[in-house]
Amino acid sequence: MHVSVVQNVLKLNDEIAAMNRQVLRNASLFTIDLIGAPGCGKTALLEKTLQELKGVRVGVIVGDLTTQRDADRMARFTEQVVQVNTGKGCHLEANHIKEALPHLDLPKLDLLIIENVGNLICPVGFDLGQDAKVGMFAISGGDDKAAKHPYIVMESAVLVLSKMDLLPYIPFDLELFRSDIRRLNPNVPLLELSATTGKGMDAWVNWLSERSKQATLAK
Amino acid sequence: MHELSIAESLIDIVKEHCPAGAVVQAVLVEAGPMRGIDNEAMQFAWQCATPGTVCQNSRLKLRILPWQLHCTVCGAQWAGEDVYVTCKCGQTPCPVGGNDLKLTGIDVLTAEELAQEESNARVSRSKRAEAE
Repeated sequence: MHVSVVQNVLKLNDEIAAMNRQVLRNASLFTIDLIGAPGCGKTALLEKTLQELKGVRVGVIVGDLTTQRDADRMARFTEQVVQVNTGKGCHLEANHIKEALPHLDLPKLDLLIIENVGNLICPVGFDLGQDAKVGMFAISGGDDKAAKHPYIVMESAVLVLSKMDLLPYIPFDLELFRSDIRRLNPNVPLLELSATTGKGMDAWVNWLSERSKQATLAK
Repeated sequence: MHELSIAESLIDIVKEHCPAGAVVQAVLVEAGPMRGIDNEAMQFAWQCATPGTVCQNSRLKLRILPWQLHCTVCGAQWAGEDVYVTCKCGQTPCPVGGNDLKLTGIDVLTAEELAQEESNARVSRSKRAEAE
């Protein structure tokens, strides 16, 4: 006998994500899910971001398979940090965020940054309840990474290309990289920056700051 | 291994829809090309995740859907296996959608079908015994 069912496979995850989204909206937070490969500089970008974001109260949830190291790095800039260890899991799921949220004092935050497990593939498919996904690439990762990972390019509200200070030293066809992105997602802003030198950080910090203010006003 | 999370979610949904006493034979799934699901990895995850569940010994029939492409210049629309192609007008098309991930059906042997099979087997066994 054939049982006909048409159901979204990740329905349970999506339902929990919707609950998270409601909790975060009720607290007037702007929430991003930062997704990038291991070593692309997610944590370095956040360290610099937390130093430069003035007047915005930031909480961070960091996902890694193991270790507390990223949380320790974040804790120098904000008290509101939760480390989630996924064990063998290659991505965060909505339930991880649901369990992390009670450890944050949400009314005292304007912006929540979720640093996903380093991975350009799996995290994209799992809604966490964020307002925006941010895909991150680095010069050191090579100019083909956007083309090879269309899902993150298409799903992101903003894309970051980091480690721009390494461009003179590494063969990286910036025009090719940009055109691959335009083809997949013609309207997504691409922010080219270096967390080391600080060049290009202003556009990123302004975007976060503006969106956090809008979320507060929407209350 | 997002395939393993997907396998676990599928098993939960199948559990909800499988009629009581039935044995699941096949689970039918459709995935858009953006999901980045690899059939071989998905089959491996299925082997790992299903023992001891309602889906034990079942087959996973995964259909990866083609890209839906749209040329914003000439308006052409088509489906294809590759996303990095050029439209016949010379422009580069944009992909549309592609992130579906759906369970589309389950093939089961119901309790009645199992009983029928069992009785058919009994009949053929006794016929064979008579002939001998």
